Amino acid sequence: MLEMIIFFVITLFVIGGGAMVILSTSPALQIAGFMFCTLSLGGEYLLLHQSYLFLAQTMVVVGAIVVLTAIVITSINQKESNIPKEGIRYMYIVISTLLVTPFGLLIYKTLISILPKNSIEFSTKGDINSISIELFSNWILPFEILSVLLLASLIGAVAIGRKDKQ
Amino acid sequence: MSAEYFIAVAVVLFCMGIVGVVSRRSIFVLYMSLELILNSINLILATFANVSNQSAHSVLALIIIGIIAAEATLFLAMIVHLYRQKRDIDSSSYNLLAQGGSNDK
Repeated sequence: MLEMIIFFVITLFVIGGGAMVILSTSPALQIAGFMFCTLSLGGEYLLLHQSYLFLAQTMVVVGAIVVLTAIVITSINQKESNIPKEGIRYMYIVISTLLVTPFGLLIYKTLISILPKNSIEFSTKGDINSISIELFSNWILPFEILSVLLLASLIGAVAIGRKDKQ
Repeated sequence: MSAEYFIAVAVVLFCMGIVGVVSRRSIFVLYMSLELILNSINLILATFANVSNQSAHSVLALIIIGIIAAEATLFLAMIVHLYRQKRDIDSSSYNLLAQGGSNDK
């Protein structure tokens, strides 16, 4: 019962954070909602007994990406007058929600149909020991490709972000 | 506790991400909506990892977190670059490659 209450509170933060991102116009509120959402997703991983994913989510997504996004937003320091005027924003949101809902229901039904019929139980498969054994025995090539991808994105970011010589 | 609740949350988050991408014009909202979509996929993988009791799904989720990091790096660098050119975060003003689009604001 307590687990259900915690789940619903965390879900409230996830959905509320996502709603703040897509509904608000202020960049500060958007980044706050993004942070609530990603941090609460870490809580969902804990409820699923995925302790290592919780650590990765907290350190990489919240600790690095959200902070980096906040730094970019504050360094751009967008004036109120430069924020895009979206007069009929809510109409677009309502229409796109109506269009996306059947698609979401289809994804939900498909995922439920292929989901094993087990309930959420305590598992040691999500801790660092099991994940590292799996990672370095069966997933070593994707892991190395990911490191090359990260290096390429680092070099690309430096190349894109430097000032053009006039 | 049933795994269907987690799948439902992930699907709702995925739909919110798609709504954000198609209905908003600020490039920050586009970027954060893409992140929401990738995070919802991670939640689905974590749910599958628990109910199937396998570590492979967790490893795949971990790799997706790395992809999220790479995507965020490039996207934020691109935002800074585009903002330096036009001083605008409205995605509809970046239409250089569109037919008849111009680089002038």
